[in-house]
Amino acid sequence: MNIIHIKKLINQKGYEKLEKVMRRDKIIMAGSLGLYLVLFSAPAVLYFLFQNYLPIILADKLWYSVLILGLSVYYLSCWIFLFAAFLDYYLDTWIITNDRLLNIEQEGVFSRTISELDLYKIQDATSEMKGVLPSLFGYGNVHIQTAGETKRFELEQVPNPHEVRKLIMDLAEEDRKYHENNKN
Amino acid sequence: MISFTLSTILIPYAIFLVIAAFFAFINLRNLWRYRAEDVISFFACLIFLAGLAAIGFFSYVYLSEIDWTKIIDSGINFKQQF
Repeated sequence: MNIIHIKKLINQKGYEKLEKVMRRDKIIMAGSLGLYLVLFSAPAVLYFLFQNYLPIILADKLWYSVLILGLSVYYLSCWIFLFAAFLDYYLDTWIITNDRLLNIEQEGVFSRTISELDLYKIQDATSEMKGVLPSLFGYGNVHIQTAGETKRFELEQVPNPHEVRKLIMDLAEEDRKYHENNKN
Repeated sequence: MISFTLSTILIPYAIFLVIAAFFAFINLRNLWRYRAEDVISFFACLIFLAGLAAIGFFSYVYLSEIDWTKIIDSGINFKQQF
């Protein structure tokens, strides 16, 4: 998986190479899809209720028109929100190189945050899989703590968090050695 | 008693369509700008546009069956029916 705009995001150093590109676990998107499937089928239930309990609404010209317009608005909104949910999932990315960690976060439609962290600054990392679904599907969070900074860098709902933590710590160790050797 | 043509209720619908079109455009622009080098973004875009077309088509089919020139007397029918 390559990021088309990687060159726009970072000035890749000569020795820097891409190690891993991650998104949230696929099950997160599947969950959103499931929710929207329920929302898409809700009007069918509503139609059944109207037909059996309030048939007058379907017979009345004004209410029928309002109902059709409402359905159109409802389905259009659901479709656009589903697409926005997909983008929220698809555009949230973590890029790990052998020099740094990039956190690209799409928050809704109008907000996008990109932050980066030098691997050699990492002090410790914690991975966790808490809850039934994370344990079942093998996803979780990785918290990264850097020296001198109170704010933790977080990789949320990523697949195989323990392996990701190990990879980051190994790369951080290598990067630290590289920087120490280059100092001397 | 207030009378109005049925087409009056198309005004808020039209306003909604403009807002929906704006959000659809912004979403597509975000996808185009920040997409990855894979087929997912292409197919996502295709499916999204196909869905919009389908919703638009069915909305048009059902809405075109309605006689929008009908005059509606507000309140009276509602009270009688309920």
